[in-house]
Order: sequence, then structure tokens, then C-alpha cells
Amino acid sequence: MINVRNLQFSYPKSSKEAIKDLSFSIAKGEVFGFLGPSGAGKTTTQRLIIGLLRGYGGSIEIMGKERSMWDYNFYEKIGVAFDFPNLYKKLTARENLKLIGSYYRSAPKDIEGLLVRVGLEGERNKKVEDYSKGMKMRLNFIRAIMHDPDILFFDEPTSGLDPVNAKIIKDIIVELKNNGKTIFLTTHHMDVAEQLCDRVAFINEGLISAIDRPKNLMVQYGKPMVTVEFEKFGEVQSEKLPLENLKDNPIFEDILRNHRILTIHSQEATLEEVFILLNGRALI
Amino acid sequence: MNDRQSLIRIRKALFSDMLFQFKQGFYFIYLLISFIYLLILGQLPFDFADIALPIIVFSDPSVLGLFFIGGILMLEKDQGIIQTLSVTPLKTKEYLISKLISLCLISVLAVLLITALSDIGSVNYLFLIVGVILTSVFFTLIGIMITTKSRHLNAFFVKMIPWMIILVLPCVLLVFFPKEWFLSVYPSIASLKLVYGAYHGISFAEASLSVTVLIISNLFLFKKAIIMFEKHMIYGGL
Ligand SMILES: Nc1ncnc2c1ncn2[C@@H]1O[C@H](COP(=O)(O)OP(=O)(O)OP(=O)(O)O)[C@@H](O)[C@H]1O
Ligand SMILES: [Mg+2]
Repeated sequence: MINVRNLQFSYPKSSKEAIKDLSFSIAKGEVFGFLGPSGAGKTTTQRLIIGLLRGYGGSIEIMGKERSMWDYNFYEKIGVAFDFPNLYKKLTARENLKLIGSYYRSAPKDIEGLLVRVGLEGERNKKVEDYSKGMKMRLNFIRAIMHDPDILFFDEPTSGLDPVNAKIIKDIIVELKNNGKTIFLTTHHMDVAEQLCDRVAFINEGLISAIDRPKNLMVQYGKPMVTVEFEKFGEVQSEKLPLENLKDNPIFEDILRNHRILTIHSQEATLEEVFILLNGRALI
Repeated sequence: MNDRQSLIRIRKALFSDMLFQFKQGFYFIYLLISFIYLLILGQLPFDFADIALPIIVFSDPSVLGLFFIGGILMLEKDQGIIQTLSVTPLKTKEYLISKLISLCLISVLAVLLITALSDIGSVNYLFLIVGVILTSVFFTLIGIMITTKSRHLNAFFVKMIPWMIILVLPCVLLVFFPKEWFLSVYPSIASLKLVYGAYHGISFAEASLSVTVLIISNLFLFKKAIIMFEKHMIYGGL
């Protein structure tokens, strides 16, 4: 669906390269996450693919055609939610969706349903200027998906949302994926990446340091150990044991037989730890 | 097929623009301005009003074009609307055409209203309407170009002043050389001549010259405005 090769970009009037050399592919139906600290180049990459920045080096092939060869029909097929909400302040949620939706050939069918889905049905006739940040984010999110595009770009889709509303958005993303949509999101939230993304790319200073399934990264850079917590003579104790041949490990056998187990945890790395390991810096 | 889609999008954009301008209070301000014009005209002695009316009718679309478009675009930019629209199938060209029409419409309506309510002799409505439309488009395009180069509304007002002087001051020449036809090659003078002529008579040749000058300038400015708008308002990033 998206095939980026040796992408390079510098902002005009800036001597520094914002994107140095990026290559990655996103398959149809995949949720692909861009993970990196502030200033890494996540938004810049998305804007290049969307077509809001011109003059890139390398190639961006999307839906079978080089980005620079696409015309305005491109926008019939993609949906974009920017990192901060962009809506008519003096208009209601409903008016916003109706007006912006009217430019698409396949005009949005179920605006009411979408409003209900993100819990805005009670606020649909309220002016957007009276919305909270989280309400605007949710409205902005359904604005991006209302015309049923094939590829979706989300820039920090859960920022500013409480856990309940973040869950709603994440559920919709999973549902979109199940309907065959291709999704490209950026985030610096580990849990979002872990729960949603089929694959993630770590990006730092305009370069990618790793691309893989979140689980693979966590296992590859973790230690093959388990930590077992158990009660022994009324005291909580813990043991770190190698994962290999765990069932034949005499210590483990002893714990299993003679003590009450409280917790068992495998020692895979968190994405955060993998990131620090690979880039020598934290994500936030 | 493509043209039809384009027309549909312009119609939708026009609807959005009118709703936006209404909700943001532009129409209210506008009604107020028209009312003030009428009050002024009513206070003037008749032969004075005779001259004042065309001048008001000329300045109305100009001021509207220059100032209102600045306000409208800045509000849309601050609310992120321009960014949102930049990822829909609405083209820059269509977006700008809709803006031009929305401002033309109020100018024409207001000018017709003011003309009808003030009691002036015969009026050539064809020249009047054509003159107001071309004037409105000309000044709105200038306003768009200034806006694309301005970060904030204040910067816009500062940049406007030299343009006002450049465009409006030469019109004073008409007081001294009312018969010089070649002054019409200057677009703002062409505008004034056309509008003034609608009330006080103008030869067909002179009207044609003014119309031609304005159409050519407007086409040129339109191309330029699209390029500047895309460069500074869309691809410039935020
Ligand atoms: N409009 C701009 N003009 C000049 N430089 C810019 C512009 N926007 C971003 N940059 C620079 O490009 C680099 C990448 O920025 P980008 O916005 O893509 O980062 P990001 O990964 O999205 O960060 P964040 O997590 O804060 O959103 C940074 O060094 C930034 O300073
Ligand atoms: Mg960003």
C-alpha cells in the first residue's frame, strides 16, 4: 500500500535534515506505528506521504503511484487526523461533519452513528468552541474516517484522552483494521503501540533504528527469564529462573510443589527499554 | 465529469463560507456598515450625494475585499480549517473561487440595496453589477495575497496600508483628468470609472477598456493568488 525508499527531506530555510534516510513498507490491512521522541520526524514523514510537504528526496509509492504523480483524487482515498483538532469553532459537531464531508464523492452516510460511537451524541448540537480538548479530539477522529477512506493517518490519536475514551478510539482503530483499512499512526505512547500496531518503526533524528512486531522486539531485547513470586513460611520471596527447560528446573519444581505461587512474569523488555537500548535516549 | 464534480464542490464550499461568515458575525458587521453608508448619504445635500454614492459603491467592494478576506482567512487558519480542507478533494482553486463569490454576493446585494434606497436618477445596472463584481474580485485577490504573507492579523493590517495607498491614491488623478482614457489601464481607476459611469454615463469604448483591464488583471492575480496560497498557507507547514 505504501512503499517508502530512501526518503529525505529538509524544511526550507533549515540547514538540518529533518528526514535523513527512511525506508519502510506498509501492507494493506496493516496497522503501522511510528514511535519516537519529540522532533524525531514522525509528523514530517506523515505530512510528506499525505502530500502537505513538497520537495522530498527518494521515493514514496502509495496505492501504486508515486506521491508526486497523484492529483486531488488522492484525498478521496485517505483520511487524516492531525495531532491537534482542526474544526469550525462556531459550528456544531454535526455541522462540521456535514460541511467537511460534503466535499467527498462518497459523502459520509452515518454521521449520527459515528457521533454515538465516540460518545458525542449528547453534544452533537453544541458549538465546537464549547468542547473540551478530548471531545474535539474525538470529533476530529471521526472527521478523518467518515468518508470511508482506504488509508488512514493518525497523528497521536489518543493524546489528551482519558483511558475510557482512548479505549473507544483504539477499538475503532482495530475495527478499521479488521475491515481491511491500512493505518499509519504516530505516537510516543508505548501501550498504544503495543496494543494496536502490527509493526512499529523506531524513529530518531530522521532515521529508523528498528522495524518489527512489538512482541518480537520485546522478546529479542529481553532476557529469557521468569520471575516467580511465592509465599514461603509466611514470607513473600522471589526467584529469577531461566526460561529454558523451566519444567525440569528443580527450584521451580520445589516452588510448584511446596509453596503458594503469587505471580509469574516473563522478563521481556518493554518497548521503552528497547528504544533506549537502540537509540541511547528515552522516548519522551 | 470532472468539471461537474468541481462545480459541486464549489457550491458546497460556498455554502460553508456563507455559514461560516454568518456565524462569525461578518454579515452583521456588514449590515451595520451598509446602514452607516445610508445614514451618511441621507445627510448629504443632493448634488453631493450624487458624487458620494458612486464613491461609496466603489469603496464598498474594495474595503470588503481587502479587509474581510483578511479576517476570514486568518480565522480559518487559526481554527485549522485550511489544514483540514487541504486533505479533502476540495482544490485550492475551488476554495478561492468560493471565497471570491461569497464576497461578491454581499457586495452586489449591498450596492443594489444602497442604490435602490437612495434616490438617484438613471442607473446602468449592467455596468454597475459588472463593475462591482470585477472590483470585488480584484481587491479580494489582493487581500488574499497579502494574507498569505502575514502571520497574524496585525501583520496583515500593517502590510495593507501601502497597498491601499498604491491602489486608491492614483484614483485622485480622475479629479484632475476626468477625460483621460488611458488612466483606465490602472485597475483600481478602471474600477472607479466603471462604477462612476454606471451612475453618470460612460462611453461603450471606455467601459470596454475598463472591463478588459480588470478581467486581465483578475486572471493574472488569480493565478498568482493560488500559487502564493499553496506555498505559504498549505505547503509552508505550520
Ligand atoms: N515547519 C517547520 N519548519 C522547520 N523545521 C521544522 C518544521 N516542522 C518541524 N521541523 C523540524 O523537523 C524535525 C522533525 O519534526 P517533526 O514535527 O516531524 O517531529 P515529531 O516526531 O512529529 O515530534 P512530536 O512528537 O513533537 O510531534 C524537528 O527537528 C523539527 O524541529
Ligand atoms: Mg508530531
